[in-house]
Amino acid sequence: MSPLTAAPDVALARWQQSLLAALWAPTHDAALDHLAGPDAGRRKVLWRGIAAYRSHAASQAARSLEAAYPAVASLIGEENFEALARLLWRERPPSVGDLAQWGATLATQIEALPELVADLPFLADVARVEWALHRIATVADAMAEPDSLTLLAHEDPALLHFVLAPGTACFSSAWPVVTLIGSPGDPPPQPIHGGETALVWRSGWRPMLRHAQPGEPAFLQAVQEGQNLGAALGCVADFDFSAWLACAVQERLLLRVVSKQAADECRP
Amino acid sequence: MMARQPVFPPPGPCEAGVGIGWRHPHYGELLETLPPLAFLEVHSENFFGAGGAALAVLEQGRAHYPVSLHGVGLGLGSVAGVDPRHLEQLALLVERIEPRFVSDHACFTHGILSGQTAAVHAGDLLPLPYSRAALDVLYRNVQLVQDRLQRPLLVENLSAYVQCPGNEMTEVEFLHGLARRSGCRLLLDINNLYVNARNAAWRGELADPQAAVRLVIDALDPALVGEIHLAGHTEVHEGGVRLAIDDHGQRVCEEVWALYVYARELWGAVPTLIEWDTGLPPLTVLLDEARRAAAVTSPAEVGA
Repeated sequence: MSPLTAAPDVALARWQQSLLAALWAPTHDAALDHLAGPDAGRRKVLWRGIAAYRSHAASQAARSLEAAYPAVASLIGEENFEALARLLWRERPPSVGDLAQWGATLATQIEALPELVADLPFLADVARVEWALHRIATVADAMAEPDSLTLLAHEDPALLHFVLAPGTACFSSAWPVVTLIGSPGDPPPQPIHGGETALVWRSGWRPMLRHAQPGEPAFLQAVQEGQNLGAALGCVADFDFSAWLACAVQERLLLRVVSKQAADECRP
Repeated sequence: MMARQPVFPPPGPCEAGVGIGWRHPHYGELLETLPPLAFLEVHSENFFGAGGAALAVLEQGRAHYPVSLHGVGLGLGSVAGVDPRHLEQLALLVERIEPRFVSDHACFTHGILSGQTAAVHAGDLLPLPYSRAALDVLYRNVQLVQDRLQRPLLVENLSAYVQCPGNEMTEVEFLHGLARRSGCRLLLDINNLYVNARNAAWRGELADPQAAVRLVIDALDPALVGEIHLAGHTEVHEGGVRLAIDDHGQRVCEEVWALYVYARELWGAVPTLIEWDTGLPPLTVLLDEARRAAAVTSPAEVGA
Protein backbone atom coordinates (compact mmCIF):
# COMPACT_ATOMS: atom_id res chain seq x y z
CA MET A 1 0.00 0.00 0.00
CA SER A 2 1.28 3.48 -0.79
CA PRO A 3 1.79 5.72 2.23
CA LEU A 4 -0.48 8.24 0.50
CA THR A 5 -3.56 6.08 0.94
CA ALA A 6 -3.24 5.77 4.72
CA ALA A 7 -4.34 8.22 7.43
CA PRO A 8 -1.84 11.07 7.85
CA ASP A 9 -0.12 9.89 11.05
CA VAL A 10 0.01 6.32 9.81
CA ALA A 11 1.31 7.51 6.44
CA LEU A 12 4.10 9.49 8.12
CA ALA A 13 5.08 6.56 10.34
CA ARG A 14 5.03 4.25 7.33
CA TRP A 15 7.22 6.64 5.30
CA GLN A 16 9.79 6.76 8.06
CA GLN A 17 9.73 3.01 8.52
CA SER A 18 10.02 2.41 4.77
CA LEU A 19 12.99 4.74 4.35
CA LEU A 20 14.79 3.19 7.34
CA ALA A 21 14.05 -0.29 5.96
CA ALA A 22 15.48 0.81 2.60
CA LEU A 23 18.67 2.01 4.28
CA TRP A 24 19.09 -1.30 6.11
CA ALA A 25 18.05 -3.53 3.18
CA PRO A 26 20.74 -6.03 2.17
CA THR A 27 20.74 -5.00 -1.49
CA HIS A 28 19.91 -1.93 -3.51
CA ASP A 29 17.04 -3.73 -5.26
CA ALA A 30 15.59 -4.74 -1.89
CA ALA A 31 15.89 -1.11 -0.78
CA LEU A 32 13.85 0.04 -3.77
CA ASP A 33 11.23 -2.63 -3.01
CA HIS A 34 10.57 -0.93 0.33
CA LEU A 35 9.97 2.49 -1.19
CA ALA A 36 8.72 1.96 -4.71
CA GLY A 37 7.40 -1.61 -4.92
CA PRO A 38 7.39 -2.91 -8.50
CA ASP A 39 6.59 0.50 -10.08
CA ALA A 40 9.41 0.81 -12.61
CA GLY A 41 8.94 4.56 -13.03
CA ARG A 42 9.19 5.26 -9.31
CA ARG A 43 12.17 2.91 -8.95
CA LYS A 44 13.96 4.87 -11.67
CA VAL A 45 13.24 8.18 -9.93
CA LEU A 46 14.35 6.91 -6.53
CA TRP A 47 17.37 4.74 -7.23
CA ARG A 48 20.09 7.42 -7.29
CA GLY A 49 18.82 9.19 -4.19
CA ILE A 50 18.57 5.95 -2.24
CA ALA A 51 22.07 5.04 -3.39
CA ALA A 52 23.30 8.38 -2.00
CA TYR A 53 21.77 7.67 1.42
CA ARG A 54 23.06 4.08 1.48
CA SER A 55 26.53 5.19 0.46
CA HIS A 56 26.54 7.84 3.18
CA ALA A 57 25.49 5.24 5.76
CA ALA A 58 28.37 2.98 4.69
CA SER A 59 30.91 5.77 4.95
CA GLN A 60 29.49 6.90 8.32
CA ALA A 61 29.80 3.32 9.59
CA ALA A 62 33.43 2.99 8.48
CA ARG A 63 34.42 6.47 9.70
CA SER A 64 32.78 6.09 13.13
CA LEU A 65 34.19 2.62 13.66
CA GLU A 66 37.70 3.49 12.54
CA ALA A 67 37.80 6.31 15.09
CA ALA A 68 37.29 3.69 17.79
CA TYR A 69 39.27 0.80 16.27
CA PRO A 70 42.36 2.10 14.43
CA ALA A 71 44.40 -1.04 15.15
CA VAL A 72 41.65 -3.41 13.97
CA ALA A 73 41.35 -1.31 10.80
CA SER A 74 45.10 -1.40 10.26
CA LEU A 75 45.33 -5.17 10.89
CA ILE A 76 42.65 -6.16 8.37
CA GLY A 77 43.13 -3.41 5.78
CA GLU A 78 40.81 -0.69 4.53
CA GLU A 79 38.60 -2.79 2.26
CA ASN A 80 37.99 -5.54 4.81
CA PHE A 81 37.40 -2.98 7.54
CA GLU A 82 34.78 -1.17 5.47
CA ALA A 83 33.01 -4.48 4.84
CA LEU A 84 33.14 -5.28 8.57
CA ALA A 85 31.74 -1.83 9.39
CA ARG A 86 28.87 -2.32 6.91
CA LEU A 87 28.11 -5.73 8.44
CA LEU A 88 28.08 -4.37 11.99
CA TRP A 89 25.90 -1.42 10.90
CA ARG A 90 23.40 -3.82 9.35
CA GLU A 91 23.34 -6.45 12.09
CA ARG A 92 23.92 -4.33 15.19
CA PRO A 93 22.79 -0.85 14.13
CA PRO A 94 23.29 2.30 16.17
CA SER A 95 20.53 3.08 18.62
CA VAL A 96 21.65 6.57 19.62
CA GLY A 97 22.45 9.75 17.73
CA ASP A 98 26.00 10.04 19.03
CA LEU A 99 27.77 7.62 16.69
CA ALA A 100 30.87 7.62 18.91
CA GLN A 101 28.83 5.37 21.20
CA TRP A 102 28.17 2.86 18.41
CA GLY A 103 30.41 -0.16 17.88
CA ALA A 104 30.71 -1.66 21.35
CA THR A 105 29.80 -5.08 19.95
CA LEU A 106 32.50 -5.30 17.28
CA ALA A 107 34.41 -7.98 19.20
CA THR A 108 31.28 -10.14 19.36
CA GLN A 109 30.66 -9.54 15.67
CA ILE A 110 34.20 -10.61 14.84
CA GLU A 111 33.78 -13.81 16.87
CA ALA A 112 30.70 -14.64 14.81
CA LEU A 113 32.82 -14.73 11.62
CA PRO A 114 34.66 -18.08 11.58
CA GLU A 115 36.94 -17.19 8.65
CA LEU A 116 38.10 -14.01 10.32
CA VAL A 117 38.67 -15.82 13.62
CA ALA A 118 40.67 -18.51 11.80
CA ASP A 119 42.84 -15.93 10.00
CA LEU A 120 43.25 -13.46 12.85
CA PRO A 121 42.37 -15.20 16.13
CA PHE A 122 43.59 -12.22 18.17
CA LEU A 123 41.35 -9.66 16.45
CA ALA A 124 38.39 -9.83 18.87
CA ASP A 125 40.67 -9.26 21.87
CA VAL A 126 42.34 -6.33 20.11
CA ALA A 127 38.85 -4.90 19.53
CA ARG A 128 37.94 -5.27 23.22
CA VAL A 129 40.99 -3.33 24.34
CA GLU A 130 40.52 -0.65 21.68
CA TRP A 131 36.88 -0.12 22.68
CA ALA A 132 37.97 0.42 26.28
CA LEU A 133 40.54 2.98 25.11
CA HIS A 134 37.90 4.69 22.97
CA ARG A 135 35.36 4.96 25.78
CA ILE A 136 37.73 6.25 28.44
CA ALA A 137 38.63 9.19 26.20
CA THR A 138 35.32 10.83 27.17
CA VAL A 139 34.63 9.66 30.73
CA ALA A 140 34.42 12.32 33.43
CA ASP A 141 37.66 14.10 34.30
CA ALA A 142 39.33 13.44 37.64
CA MET A 143 42.11 15.44 39.24
CA ALA A 144 45.27 13.90 40.64
CA GLU A 145 46.13 14.89 44.23
CA PRO A 146 49.79 13.90 44.74
CA ASP A 147 49.91 15.60 48.16
CA SER A 148 47.51 12.96 49.47
CA LEU A 149 50.33 10.39 49.18
CA THR A 150 51.72 11.71 52.47
CA LEU A 151 48.98 9.68 54.17
CA LEU A 152 50.97 6.57 53.24
CA ALA A 153 53.79 7.66 55.53
CA HIS A 154 51.85 7.69 58.78
CA GLU A 155 48.51 5.93 58.37
CA ASP A 156 47.71 2.25 58.79
CA PRO A 157 47.23 0.73 55.26
CA ALA A 158 44.04 -0.88 56.55
CA LEU A 159 42.62 2.64 56.94
CA LEU A 160 43.55 3.89 53.45
CA HIS A 161 42.00 3.55 50.02
CA PHE A 162 43.37 4.26 46.55
CA VAL A 163 41.48 6.24 43.89
CA LEU A 164 42.47 5.18 40.38
CA ALA A 165 42.29 7.07 37.09
CA PRO A 166 39.02 7.12 35.11
CA GLY A 167 38.37 3.98 33.11
CA THR A 168 41.14 1.86 34.65
CA ALA A 169 40.72 -1.75 33.46
CA CYS A 170 42.77 -4.86 32.72
CA PHE A 171 42.23 -7.28 29.84
CA SER A 172 43.88 -10.67 29.94
CA SER A 173 44.36 -12.21 26.51
CA ALA A 174 45.91 -15.35 25.06
CA TRP A 175 47.37 -13.03 22.38
CA PRO A 176 49.91 -10.19 22.44
CA VAL A 177 47.24 -7.50 22.34
CA VAL A 178 49.39 -4.69 23.75
CA THR A 179 52.11 -5.33 21.18
CA LEU A 180 49.57 -5.49 18.34
CA ILE A 181 47.85 -2.22 19.30
CA GLY A 182 51.11 -0.51 20.12
CA SER A 183 52.63 -1.17 16.69
CA PRO A 184 50.18 0.49 14.32
CA GLY A 185 50.79 -0.27 10.69
CA ASP A 186 53.12 -3.20 11.37
CA PRO A 187 52.02 -6.61 10.08
CA PRO A 188 51.33 -9.00 12.95
CA PRO A 189 54.39 -11.13 13.82
CA GLN A 190 54.36 -14.69 12.39
CA PRO A 191 53.91 -17.03 14.10
CA ILE A 192 52.00 -15.01 16.63
CA HIS A 193 52.11 -16.25 20.19
CA GLY A 194 52.48 -15.11 23.77
CA GLY A 195 49.55 -13.88 25.80
CA GLU A 196 49.56 -10.39 27.33
CA THR A 197 47.48 -8.60 29.92
CA ALA A 198 46.66 -5.06 28.85
CA LEU A 199 46.14 -2.23 31.31
CA VAL A 200 44.17 0.81 30.10
CA TRP A 201 43.53 4.05 31.96
CA ARG A 202 43.36 7.77 31.27
CA SER A 203 46.31 9.92 32.21
CA GLY A 204 44.99 13.46 32.22
CA TRP A 205 43.13 13.59 28.91
CA ARG A 206 45.16 10.85 27.24
CA PRO A 207 43.98 7.23 27.03
CA MET A 208 46.93 5.00 27.96
CA LEU A 209 47.86 1.37 27.31
CA ARG A 210 50.68 -0.79 28.65
CA HIS A 211 51.44 -4.31 29.80
CA ALA A 212 50.14 -5.01 33.29
CA GLN A 213 52.90 -5.87 35.76
CA PRO A 214 52.86 -9.20 37.59
CA GLY A 215 50.23 -9.04 40.33
CA GLU A 216 48.93 -5.69 39.11
CA PRO A 217 45.54 -6.90 37.72
CA ALA A 218 44.60 -8.60 41.00
CA PHE A 219 45.74 -5.60 43.03
CA LEU A 220 43.80 -3.12 40.87
CA GLN A 221 40.72 -5.31 40.97
CA ALA A 222 40.83 -5.39 44.76
CA VAL A 223 41.24 -1.60 44.87
CA GLN A 224 38.32 -1.13 42.48
CA GLU A 225 36.17 -3.46 44.57
CA GLY A 226 36.65 -1.03 47.44
CA GLN A 227 39.13 -3.00 49.54
CA ASN A 228 41.46 -1.00 51.73
CA LEU A 229 45.14 -0.84 50.81
CA GLY A 230 46.19 -3.46 53.36
CA ALA A 231 43.57 -5.93 52.17
CA ALA A 232 44.32 -5.24 48.50
CA LEU A 233 48.01 -5.94 49.06
CA GLY A 234 47.03 -9.13 50.85
CA CYS A 235 45.30 -10.34 47.68
CA VAL A 236 48.47 -10.45 45.62
CA ALA A 237 51.72 -12.29 45.71
CA ASP A 238 54.71 -11.38 43.58
CA PHE A 239 53.75 -7.72 43.46
CA ASP A 240 56.44 -5.06 43.86
CA PHE A 241 54.30 -2.40 45.50
CA SER A 242 57.06 0.21 45.94
CA ALA A 243 58.03 0.09 42.27
CA TRP A 244 54.37 0.11 41.25
CA LEU A 245 53.58 3.13 43.43
CA ALA A 246 56.33 5.30 41.94
CA CYS A 247 55.28 4.34 38.43
CA ALA A 248 51.52 4.70 39.07
CA VAL A 249 51.91 8.22 40.47
CA GLN A 250 54.07 9.30 37.55
CA GLU A 251 51.63 7.79 35.05
CA ARG A 252 48.66 9.31 36.87
CA LEU A 253 47.20 5.83 37.19
CA LEU A 254 46.91 6.46 40.92
CA LEU A 255 45.13 9.76 41.48
CA ARG A 256 45.01 10.01 45.25
CA VAL A 257 44.97 8.29 48.59
CA VAL A 258 41.97 8.77 50.87
CA SER A 259 41.20 7.77 54.42
CA LYS A 260 38.69 5.02 55.14
CA GLN A 261 36.24 7.64 56.38
CA ALA A 262 36.47 9.65 53.16
CA ALA A 263 36.12 6.48 51.09
CA ASP A 264 33.04 5.43 53.05
CA GLU A 265 31.47 8.86 52.49
CA CYS A 266 32.03 8.59 48.72
CA ARG A 267 30.32 5.20 48.46
CA PRO A 268 26.66 5.19 47.50
CA MET B 1 -4.98 21.18 17.81
CA MET B 2 -4.55 24.59 19.36
CA ALA B 3 -1.15 26.11 18.89
CA ARG B 4 0.63 26.36 22.21
CA GLN B 5 2.16 29.72 23.00
CA PRO B 6 5.94 29.77 23.37
CA VAL B 7 6.93 29.70 27.03
CA PHE B 8 9.68 32.22 26.44
CA PRO B 9 9.99 35.32 24.33
CA PRO B 10 11.66 35.04 20.94
CA PRO B 11 15.35 35.95 21.03
CA GLY B 12 16.12 39.60 20.60
CA PRO B 13 18.31 40.95 17.85
CA CYS B 14 21.83 39.71 18.29
CA GLU B 15 25.05 40.81 16.81
CA ALA B 16 25.38 39.36 13.34
CA GLY B 17 28.68 38.36 11.81
CA VAL B 18 30.35 35.38 10.23
CA GLY B 19 31.58 32.23 11.92
CA ILE B 20 32.96 28.88 10.86
CA GLY B 21 32.26 25.27 11.71
CA TRP B 22 35.10 24.27 14.04
CA ARG B 23 36.24 20.70 13.40
CA HIS B 24 38.91 18.49 14.95
CA PRO B 25 41.77 19.10 12.45
CA HIS B 26 41.53 22.85 13.15
CA TYR B 27 41.23 22.77 16.95
CA GLY B 28 44.87 23.56 17.67
CA GLU B 29 45.55 26.07 14.90
CA LEU B 30 42.45 28.11 15.67
CA LEU B 31 43.31 28.34 19.37
CA GLU B 32 46.86 29.36 18.51
CA THR B 33 45.96 32.01 15.94
CA LEU B 34 42.58 33.22 17.25
CA PRO B 35 41.39 34.63 13.89
CA PRO B 36 38.69 37.30 14.02
CA LEU B 37 35.36 35.45 13.82
CA ALA B 38 31.94 36.31 15.17
CA PHE B 39 31.37 32.78 16.47
CA LEU B 40 32.29 29.10 16.18
CA GLU B 41 29.87 26.29 15.57
CA VAL B 42 30.43 22.67 16.58
CA HIS B 43 28.41 19.49 16.29
CA SER B 44 26.81 18.97 19.69
CA GLU B 45 27.09 15.18 19.57
CA ASN B 46 30.90 15.34 19.38
CA PHE B 47 30.93 16.74 22.92
CA PHE B 48 28.42 14.48 24.66
CA GLY B 49 31.06 12.77 26.78
CA ALA B 50 31.25 13.64 30.47
CA GLY B 51 34.86 14.77 30.13
CA GLY B 52 38.03 14.37 28.11
CA ALA B 53 40.17 16.34 25.72
CA ALA B 54 37.48 17.34 23.20
CA LEU B 55 35.32 18.96 25.85
CA ALA B 56 38.33 20.75 27.30
CA VAL B 57 39.23 22.12 23.86
CA LEU B 58 35.66 23.31 23.36
CA GLU B 59 35.81 25.15 26.67
CA GLN B 60 39.05 26.79 25.56
CA GLY B 61 37.35 27.89 22.34
CA ARG B 62 34.40 29.14 24.36
CA ALA B 63 36.77 31.36 26.33
CA HIS B 64 37.60 33.25 23.12
CA TYR B 65 34.46 33.06 20.98
CA PRO B 66 30.70 32.65 21.26
CA VAL B 67 29.96 29.00 20.42
CA SER B 68 26.87 27.58 18.72
CA LEU B 69 25.81 23.97 19.21
CA HIS B 70 24.55 22.45 15.99
CA GLY B 71 22.99 19.01 16.35
CA VAL B 72 22.67 16.27 13.78
CA GLY B 73 21.05 13.61 15.92
CA LEU B 74 17.92 14.84 17.72
CA GLY B 75 15.66 13.74 14.88
CA LEU B 76 13.08 16.44 15.55
CA GLY B 77 10.69 15.00 12.96
CA SER B 78 10.95 11.39 14.15
CA VAL B 79 7.57 9.82 14.87
CA ALA B 80 9.34 7.77 17.57
CA GLY B 81 9.98 11.01 19.48
CA VAL B 82 13.15 12.59 20.80
CA ASP B 83 15.46 10.20 22.64
CA PRO B 84 15.41 11.41 26.29
CA ARG B 85 19.05 10.36 26.81
CA HIS B 86 20.11 12.46 23.83
CA LEU B 87 18.14 15.44 25.12
CA GLU B 88 19.69 15.15 28.58
CA GLN B 89 23.20 15.03 27.13
CA LEU B 90 22.42 18.10 25.03
CA ALA B 91 20.96 19.90 28.07
CA LEU B 92 24.13 19.23 30.09
CA LEU B 93 26.28 20.56 27.25
CA VAL B 94 24.12 23.66 26.85
CA GLU B 95 24.44 24.33 30.57
CA ARG B 96 28.20 23.94 30.37
CA ILE B 97 28.89 25.94 27.20
CA GLU B 98 26.13 28.59 27.31
CA PRO B 99 25.96 28.64 23.51
CA ARG B 100 24.96 31.51 21.28
CA PHE B 101 22.54 29.27 19.36
CA VAL B 102 21.33 25.71 19.65
CA SER B 103 20.17 24.20 16.39
CA ASP B 104 19.18 20.97 14.65
CA HIS B 105 17.33 19.96 11.50
CA ALA B 106 13.78 19.58 10.18
CA CYS B 107 14.23 15.88 9.57
CA PHE B 108 13.82 12.45 11.08
CA THR B 109 16.76 10.30 12.09
CA HIS B 110 15.47 7.26 13.93
CA GLY B 111 12.64 4.79 14.30
CA ILE B 112 11.84 1.15 14.77
CA LEU B 113 12.46 -1.21 11.87
CA SER B 114 9.71 -3.65 11.06
CA GLY B 115 10.06 -6.81 13.14
CA GLN B 116 12.41 -5.12 15.63
CA THR B 117 11.72 -3.75 19.08
CA ALA B 118 14.61 -1.33 19.59
CA ALA B 119 15.00 1.93 17.67
CA VAL B 120 17.74 2.34 15.10
CA HIS B 121 19.45 5.65 14.43
CA ALA B 122 20.30 6.27 10.78
CA GLY B 123 23.19 8.66 11.45
CA ASP B 124 21.76 10.79 8.65
CA LEU B 125 19.25 13.59 8.15
CA LEU B 126 16.22 11.99 6.50
CA PRO B 127 13.47 13.97 4.78
CA LEU B 128 9.93 14.62 5.94
CA PRO B 129 6.91 15.34 3.78
CA TYR B 130 5.58 18.89 4.06
CA SER B 131 2.39 17.59 5.65
CA ARG B 132 0.23 18.56 8.62
CA ALA B 133 1.12 15.30 10.34
CA ALA B 134 4.87 15.91 9.97
CA LEU B 135 4.42 19.48 11.18
CA ASP B 136 2.59 18.22 14.29
CA VAL B 137 5.41 15.78 15.06
CA LEU B 138 8.08 18.43 14.53
CA TYR B 139 6.18 20.94 16.63
CA ARG B 140 5.74 18.50 19.53
CA ASN B 141 9.41 17.51 19.52
CA VAL B 142 10.72 21.06 19.11
CA GLN B 143 8.48 22.16 21.98
CA LEU B 144 9.77 19.32 24.16
CA VAL B 145 13.39 20.28 23.49
CA GLN B 146 12.77 23.99 24.01
CA ASP B 147 10.95 23.33 27.28
CA ARG B 148 13.88 21.25 28.53
CA LEU B 149 16.54 23.71 27.40
CA GLN B 150 14.48 26.78 28.30
CA ARG B 151 15.59 28.51 25.14
CA PRO B 152 14.45 28.62 21.53
CA LEU B 153 15.98 26.32 18.95
CA LEU B 154 17.04 27.17 15.44
CA VAL B 155 15.70 24.57 12.99
CA GLU B 156 17.46 24.06 9.65
CA ASN B 157 15.90 23.26 6.28
CA LEU B 158 17.09 20.03 4.71
CA SER B 159 18.66 18.85 1.49
CA ALA B 160 16.95 15.66 0.33
CA TYR B 161 17.69 13.06 -2.32
CA VAL B 162 14.32 11.33 -2.39
CA GLN B 163 10.95 12.99 -2.70
CA CYS B 164 8.54 12.21 0.12
CA PRO B 165 4.98 11.35 -0.81
CA GLY B 166 2.17 13.32 0.82
CA ASN B 167 3.23 16.98 0.57
CA GLU B 168 0.32 19.24 1.55
CA MET B 169 2.08 22.62 1.60
CA THR B 170 5.23 24.32 0.37
CA GLU B 171 8.52 24.13 2.25
CA VAL B 172 8.17 27.80 3.24
CA GLU B 173 4.66 27.24 4.62
CA PHE B 174 5.96 24.23 6.52
CA LEU B 175 8.88 26.12 8.07
CA HIS B 176 6.78 29.20 8.84
CA GLY B 177 4.17 26.96 10.48
CA LEU B 178 6.78 25.37 12.69
CA ALA B 179 8.44 28.64 13.71
CA ARG B 180 5.19 30.45 14.42
CA ARG B 181 3.67 27.63 16.46
CA SER B 182 6.74 26.71 18.48
CA GLY B 183 8.59 30.01 18.82
CA CYS B 184 11.69 28.46 17.26
CA ARG B 185 13.60 30.33 14.57
CA LEU B 186 14.89 29.14 11.24
CA LEU B 187 18.44 28.30 10.29
CA LEU B 188 18.37 28.80 6.56
CA ASP B 189 20.91 26.71 4.68
CA ILE B 190 21.10 28.36 1.27
CA ASN B 191 23.19 25.54 -0.16
CA ASN B 192 20.49 23.05 0.85
CA LEU B 193 17.88 25.12 -0.97
CA TYR B 194 20.13 25.25 -4.02
CA VAL B 195 20.95 21.50 -3.94
CA ASN B 196 17.23 20.66 -3.81
CA ALA B 197 16.47 23.06 -6.67
CA ARG B 198 19.45 21.81 -8.71
CA ASN B 199 18.21 18.23 -8.35
CA ALA B 200 14.63 19.21 -9.15
CA ALA B 201 15.90 20.87 -12.33
CA TRP B 202 17.73 17.70 -13.32
CA ARG B 203 14.52 15.75 -12.77
CA GLY B 204 12.84 18.20 -15.16
CA GLU B 205 10.61 19.73 -12.48
CA LEU B 206 11.88 23.30 -12.88
CA ALA B 207 13.98 25.26 -15.33
CA ASP B 208 16.13 27.63 -13.29
CA PRO B 209 17.40 26.50 -9.84
CA GLN B 210 18.59 29.97 -8.83
CA ALA B 211 15.26 31.54 -9.73
CA ALA B 212 13.49 28.82 -7.72
CA VAL B 213 15.62 29.56 -4.64
CA ARG B 214 15.08 33.30 -5.02
CA LEU B 215 11.32 32.65 -4.85
CA VAL B 216 11.82 30.76 -1.58
CA ILE B 217 13.92 33.60 -0.16
CA ASP B 218 11.27 36.11 -1.28
CA ALA B 219 8.58 34.12 0.51
CA LEU B 220 10.44 33.64 3.79
CA ASP B 221 9.63 35.94 6.69
CA PRO B 222 12.99 37.54 7.59
CA ALA B 223 11.86 37.97 11.19
CA LEU B 224 11.92 34.18 11.54
CA VAL B 225 15.42 33.65 10.13
CA GLY B 226 18.02 33.53 12.89
CA GLU B 227 21.06 32.21 11.05
CA ILE B 228 22.31 31.33 7.56
CA HIS B 229 24.50 28.36 6.67
CA LEU B 230 26.74 28.37 3.59
CA ALA B 231 28.49 25.22 2.39
CA GLY B 232 29.74 23.50 -0.71
CA HIS B 233 28.29 20.49 -2.49
CA THR B 234 29.42 17.89 -5.01
CA GLU B 235 27.74 17.00 -8.27
CA VAL B 236 27.85 13.34 -9.32
CA HIS B 237 26.87 11.80 -12.63
CA GLU B 238 26.23 8.09 -12.67
CA GLY B 239 24.11 5.80 -14.81
CA GLY B 240 22.74 8.73 -16.76
CA VAL B 241 21.47 10.41 -13.58
CA ARG B 242 22.91 13.62 -12.14
CA LEU B 243 22.69 14.42 -8.47
CA ALA B 244 23.96 17.26 -6.30
CA ILE B 245 25.03 15.96 -2.89
CA ASP B 246 25.32 18.26 0.10
CA ASP B 247 28.62 16.86 1.35
CA HIS B 248 30.10 20.08 2.81
CA GLY B 249 33.30 19.15 1.04
CA GLN B 250 33.88 22.07 -1.35
CA ARG B 251 34.02 25.83 -1.43
CA VAL B 252 30.63 27.53 -1.61
CA CYS B 253 29.65 27.60 -5.30
CA GLU B 254 29.14 30.88 -7.18
CA GLU B 255 25.39 30.30 -7.55
CA VAL B 256 25.01 30.00 -3.77
CA TRP B 257 27.15 33.10 -3.21
CA ALA B 258 24.84 35.01 -5.54
CA LEU B 259 21.82 33.75 -3.59
CA TYR B 260 23.46 34.77 -0.32
CA VAL B 261 23.98 38.29 -1.64
CA TYR B 262 20.33 38.30 -2.73
CA ALA B 263 19.13 37.19 0.71
CA ARG B 264 21.28 39.76 2.51
CA GLU B 265 19.93 42.53 0.28
CA LEU B 266 16.45 41.54 1.39
CA TRP B 267 17.10 40.65 5.01
CA GLY B 268 20.00 42.78 6.18
CA ALA B 269 22.52 41.38 8.63
CA VAL B 270 22.04 37.74 9.62
CA PRO B 271 24.59 35.61 11.53
CA THR B 272 26.23 33.45 8.87
CA LEU B 273 28.27 30.28 9.13
CA ILE B 274 30.71 28.63 6.72
CA GLU B 275 30.35 24.82 7.05
CA TRP B 276 32.94 22.30 5.88
CA ASP B 277 32.80 18.70 7.09
CA THR B 278 34.45 16.33 4.62
CA GLY B 279 37.91 16.59 3.10
CA LEU B 280 38.73 19.52 5.34
CA PRO B 281 41.11 22.03 3.72
CA PRO B 282 43.61 24.19 5.64
CA LEU B 283 41.98 26.58 8.09
CA THR B 284 43.00 29.49 5.86
CA VAL B 285 40.55 28.30 3.20
CA LEU B 286 37.64 28.43 5.64
CA LEU B 287 38.77 31.85 6.83
CA ASP B 288 38.94 32.96 3.21
CA GLU B 289 35.33 31.87 2.70
CA ALA B 290 34.34 33.60 5.96
CA ARG B 291 35.99 36.85 4.80
CA ARG B 292 34.04 36.66 1.54
CA ALA B 293 30.77 36.26 3.46
CA ALA B 294 31.70 39.10 5.80
CA ALA B 295 32.35 41.38 2.83
CA VAL B 296 28.72 41.06 1.73
CA THR B 297 26.83 44.02 3.05
CA SER B 298 23.14 44.76 2.82
CA PRO B 299 21.73 48.12 1.71
CA ALA B 300 20.59 48.78 5.28
CA GLU B 301 24.13 48.32 6.60
CA VAL B 302 25.62 50.51 3.88
CA GLY B 303 23.11 53.25 4.65
CA ALA B 304 23.66 53.02 8.40
